[in-house]
Amino acid sequence: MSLLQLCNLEKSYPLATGRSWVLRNINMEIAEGAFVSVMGPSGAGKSSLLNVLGLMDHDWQGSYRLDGIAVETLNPKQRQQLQREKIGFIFQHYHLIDELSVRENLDLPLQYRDVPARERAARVADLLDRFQIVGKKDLYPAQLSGGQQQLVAVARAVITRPRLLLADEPTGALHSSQARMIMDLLHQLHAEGTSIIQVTHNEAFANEAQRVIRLQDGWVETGGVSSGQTG
Amino acid sequence: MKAFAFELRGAARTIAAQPAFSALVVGVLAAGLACVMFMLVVLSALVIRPLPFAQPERLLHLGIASSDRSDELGDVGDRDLLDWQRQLATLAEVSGFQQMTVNLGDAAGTERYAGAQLTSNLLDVLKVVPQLGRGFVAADGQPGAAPTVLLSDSLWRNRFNADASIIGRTLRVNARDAIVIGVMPAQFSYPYKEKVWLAGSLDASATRGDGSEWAVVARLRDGATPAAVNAALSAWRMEAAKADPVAFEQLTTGAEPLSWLFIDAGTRGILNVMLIAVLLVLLVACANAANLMLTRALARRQELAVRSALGASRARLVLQLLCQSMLLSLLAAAIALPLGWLGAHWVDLVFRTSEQDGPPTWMHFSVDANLILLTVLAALGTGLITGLLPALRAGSGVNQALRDDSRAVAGGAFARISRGLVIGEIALSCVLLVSAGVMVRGINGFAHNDFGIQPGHLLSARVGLPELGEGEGAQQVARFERITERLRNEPGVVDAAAGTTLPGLIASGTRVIADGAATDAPRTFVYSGAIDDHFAATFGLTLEQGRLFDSRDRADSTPVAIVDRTFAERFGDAGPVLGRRFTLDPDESDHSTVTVVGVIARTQLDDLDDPVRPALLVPMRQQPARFASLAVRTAGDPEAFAPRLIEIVRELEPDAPAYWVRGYERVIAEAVFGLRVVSRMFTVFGLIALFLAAAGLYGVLAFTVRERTREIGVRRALGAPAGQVLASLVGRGSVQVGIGLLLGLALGWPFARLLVGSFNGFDPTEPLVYALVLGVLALVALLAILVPARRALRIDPVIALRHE
Repeated sequence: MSLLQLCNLEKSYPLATGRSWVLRNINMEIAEGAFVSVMGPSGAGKSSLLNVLGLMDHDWQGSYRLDGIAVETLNPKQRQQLQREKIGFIFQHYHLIDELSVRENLDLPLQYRDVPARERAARVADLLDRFQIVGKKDLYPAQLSGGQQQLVAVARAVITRPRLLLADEPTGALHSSQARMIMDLLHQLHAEGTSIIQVTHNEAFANEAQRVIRLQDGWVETGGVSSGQTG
Repeated sequence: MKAFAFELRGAARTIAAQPAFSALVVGVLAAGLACVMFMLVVLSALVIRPLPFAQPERLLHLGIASSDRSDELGDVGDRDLLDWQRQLATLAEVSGFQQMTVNLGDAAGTERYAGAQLTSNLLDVLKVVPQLGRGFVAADGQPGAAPTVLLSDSLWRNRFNADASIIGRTLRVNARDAIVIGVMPAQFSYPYKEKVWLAGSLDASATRGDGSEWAVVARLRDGATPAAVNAALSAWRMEAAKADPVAFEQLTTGAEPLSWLFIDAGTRGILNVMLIAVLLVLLVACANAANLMLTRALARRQELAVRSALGASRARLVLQLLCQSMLLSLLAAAIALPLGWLGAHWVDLVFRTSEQDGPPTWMHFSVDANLILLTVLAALGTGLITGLLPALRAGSGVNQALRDDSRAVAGGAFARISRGLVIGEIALSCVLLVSAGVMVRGINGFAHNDFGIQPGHLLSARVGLPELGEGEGAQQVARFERITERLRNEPGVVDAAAGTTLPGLIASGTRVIADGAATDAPRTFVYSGAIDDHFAATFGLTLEQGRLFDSRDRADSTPVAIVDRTFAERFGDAGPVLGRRFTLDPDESDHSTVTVVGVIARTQLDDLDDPVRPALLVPMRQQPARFASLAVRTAGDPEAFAPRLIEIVRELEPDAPAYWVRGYERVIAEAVFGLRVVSRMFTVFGLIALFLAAAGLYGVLAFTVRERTREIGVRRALGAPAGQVLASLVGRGSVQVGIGLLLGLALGWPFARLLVGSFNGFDPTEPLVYALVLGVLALVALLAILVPARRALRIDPVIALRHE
């Protein structure tokens, strides 16, 4: 069963002399529970594609179905609702909120979803335990190493139990041992049933996914539609 | 609600995490709110708080006014007041009072007090009952009745040791025996700071324009309205005009809330302008804080984008930023409240210690629960205004911030809004500073302006002789001559004089027509006074033509006058005024015709801030008076002679102590006391606005420079000289400053005109003020630009390029 389908999706900016294309005729299908890597040189459209998939960019043409819902027919409020329900984000630079402790950073997405306090506390405690960061729960981001920060960022991304986890170069700012730890974590989440799409420049980490989509100048070069659909 | 509490906690943490930024915003808002709080204190005391009488909304002040100044209701004579009591009987109970000097004597000596004469029903109208004894009844004050007197609580306590047996005791009141019939409650000092009250009677046979004049106070009867009273007064005026068309030609009647009697139209006008000024200060503060918040929200766009990606709705992001601005505003209010309280305390002290007629003692400049609530509401409103713009701007398009890793977030609409706010701040500061400058310059001018006298080495005092009965005019003249002669014989005294006027402070108003003019010729209002032969020399009046008064001008000789140059110019069309005759108060039964024997230089007899009007002086021998000013020109410090003057007057006139004994330079300072207070307030408002504009400019430019640190590093690394980079930064800020100053100057002139237009001696176009304001603002702005710009230049290009 496919989680998302892109059909003839295109994105461009108007220029005085014509249009600057960012994404061209993207056709892509990703199954529920897949682990997909997106690769390509700088400017190929990787991050743009991730923004479209993450419902952060609405300025495109074509068709995008997420969990059976045609995204292009939704108004901004509905899009945000869909994003809240289905998607979690991991950023290259972690983007933890500096003024909030680890525990509060994890709590924040649940706050925004009006999850009752008792359930929030339980889920935060559960995740702190699972990610083995209980001892760090009262520390602030500035008191953590890069790897620890990304660990918290991943925990924060999955605390809402998203169906789809979008990771924009999750290991890009980390040294190798920390990067390995994060990749292991992604594998673990994938094994638990989370669909993951990661953008990465790291060939080895990319190949750890079930499928690699390669972009070039906004076009899908390879891997747009998988042969098995289950990854 | 949970979301609100959560965001409030988050806002508190953000504020604590950025102490310098938070302190700047709180300081800026506190400055604006303190001004508002202070103004609320003033307005509350003068306008908002009801009069301390039962059902104060039913109390009215009635009066007669010139048609062209119908908002300045004046007093009425005995006959008109009696008419009104009859005419309005079904609508209101009508009473009257007149302020007077009371010389109160007993075995311990005679002291002068501020007092008032009341119609017997005034206390009933005010619904005030004495704490001891009784109030006035209709029989009190009637011809032939034993004089009666009421004492204030403070006088009773301080002079008579709260002796309850004071009731029924006889005191000397203005040289006559009077029986104390009651002691008024504490705090009662009606109308202003009075301590003694006498019963007055209305003389039905008095001719209009003669005799005493009464301020009229009425209490509406049940069901009656002010409009009905106004209509009844208009009907009376129509009837009265039929009988006396000349007197009523340019007169109208009116009823206004009694509180307006104490806060006249001029004061209300000043209060309005001050309120506008304070709101301008708050507006500057809001613009400033909004700008700072905007820059901070810009810097936080990526964080907001992350929050959005984590599921925060736009409304939630707006709420987050609004919570922050609201909390900052409340912190500012917490600082503004004690500052406002201090301001209230200051203005209360200033008025209480002033010898001038300030507001009544029952008007308290104090902070109460309502004021605190209003200030908190103002703070919340300020927080909303301050936070809404940054919140709405920063809450939109946050995803763009997450997608763009670019640091160039200060461009586009944000920069335009920010620049607009800075321009607005500078313009508003300019308006306030120009107004303050015009006020200060005008008031300082009073101290140095030539208004016709030489105030140095001059001591003045007032003396009110007791009523002397038949033939009192000659006696009054003789008694004042006796005092001044004695003063002139004192060592260190150069000259001494008596006269009814105190130039720059006290004068009478007289209507004048040239002798022989048609009876319906327009009357010219002039300031006038009666003076003795030494007055001109003592005050240093400058004779330009003719002669001064001397022994030729006796009570029975031809009535003569000296006029000033303004008078000569006003009547100069028909030739030189010297030797010409003029009729004084032609509509009154005791009008007189005088011949001009001298012309003196331009002299301002009445209040310095009143419009310049012609001045006319007559010999005291030809127009004697019970009340006169004494003036002593001394060789040394005039204030040092004050005790001796008091002693001499006490010796010669035991029932008429000298009061208001002051050096003339102090007299002038106090003459413009109210304006000086207003001018100080404006100066404070202007300086606060200047501080706000500087802080705002600095804050925004510092942020811009910080955002451009990397760009500056690139430019420097590419070889741009420091001067060029500095010029580019300064140039960018200077354009905003320039536009702000131009706008401020364009708005400052009409605002200053609105503020001082009705006062004499102020020039809203004074070039020096504009030049100074421009210079100061430009300098402050330049410093605000240079400090962050120089800091950016000191950074090593290599470090700047690494700047995150």
